[in-house]
Amino acid sequence: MVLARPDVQGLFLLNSTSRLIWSALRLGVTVESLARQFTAEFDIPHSQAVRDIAATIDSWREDLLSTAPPTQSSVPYLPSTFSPCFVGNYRLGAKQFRLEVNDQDFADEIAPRLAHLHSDTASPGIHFQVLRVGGQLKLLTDGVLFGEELEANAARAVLLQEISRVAQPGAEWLAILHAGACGAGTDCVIMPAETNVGKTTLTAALMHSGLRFLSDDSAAIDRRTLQVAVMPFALMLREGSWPVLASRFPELAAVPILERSGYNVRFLAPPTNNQLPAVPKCLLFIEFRPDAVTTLNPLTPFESLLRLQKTGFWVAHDRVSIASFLSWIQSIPSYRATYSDLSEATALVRGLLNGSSN
Amino acid sequence: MAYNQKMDQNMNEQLSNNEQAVQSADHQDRREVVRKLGKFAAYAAPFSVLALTQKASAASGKGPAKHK
Repeated sequence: MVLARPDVQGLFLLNSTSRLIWSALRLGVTVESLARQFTAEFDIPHSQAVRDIAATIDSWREDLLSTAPPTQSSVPYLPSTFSPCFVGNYRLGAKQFRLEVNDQDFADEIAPRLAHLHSDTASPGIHFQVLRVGGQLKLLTDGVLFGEELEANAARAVLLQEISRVAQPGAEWLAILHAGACGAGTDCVIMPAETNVGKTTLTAALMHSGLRFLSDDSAAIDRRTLQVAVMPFALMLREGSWPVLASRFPELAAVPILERSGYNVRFLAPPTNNQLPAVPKCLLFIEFRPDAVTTLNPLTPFESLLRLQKTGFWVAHDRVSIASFLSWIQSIPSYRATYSDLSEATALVRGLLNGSSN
Repeated sequence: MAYNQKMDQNMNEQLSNNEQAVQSADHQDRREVVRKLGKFAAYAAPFSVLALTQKASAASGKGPAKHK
């Protein structure tokens, strides 16, 4: 079961027994009565049933049923003058855009990801600004605020999602998953993952194997078509992945080494010649583990949601969008894959694109 | 069981005051779930988690590299 509150930017995921509690209480069933039912249905001690039900209800009082007022939004302060430390002109598809930044850390975060999209044309286009104001990074499109973040990497993710959206006429995101995405033809596989479990490395290897690159970090699902958008921004490869990718991308050795978040990294630019979105065939939650045998296991929609809770995702927070997203989650096959061998993982993804899950 | 009765009363009050809580995924009622689980079905301790949904959650760049 999935519940939502309009004033909480999130989804409450209830497992089967938690759902029983919620449904029973809505029907007016008392805790004592429900505990007796649990005892009878599940053959567990009455004391355990009472304890578990009470604990669940207590936890709901902290969030799901909390009466605490939502955080009040305030009109953000924006300075009237702005001195950028970084300015870049870029082109993505048919869209020309200009980026101005007044924060050096953010400039270091975003510039390598956009370098291959550089344009010598300084003609008017979409105007993005990122300003550090009062400890927060404010993100603006043509003077209109569309995001506020504390951390440079969070602001970078939000900016790239917005750049991709405005570059594709008519695009509106239903959901965005923290995931890579690669495809063949009109199809693709979405690969949600937590940070540092091999997502970018696998995405690079898939790209090398001939699959079409759609995204490395954010898989944006279009509201109308449910297709995955192309986000052709450079992949950030940490030092640990360089050896395993060296034979696939020998040019990496000549790429300058930068430092991000305390790690040596290199950036790999993907092709930008195909901007067409792709139809997701499945969700593949990936995890690189040293010495792991390559495995593929199906997931239920609820298990997928629990995993998305860990990997990170966003859904437009209104009833229609949430219902549409949940319907999509229920309809799309979902798997968990662990692997240690990059070639085997590549073959696995290609197999899924070819319709095989064996 | 005065405690539980009080808890029931509080819960019912909170439920009625929280109509903004929207059931959106599944419309089957409790009986159907019990029927599916079957008598003496394996007991799963009840839990719920709040999955925060924020655009910035698609940010990476933290933590140690694992690929070797």
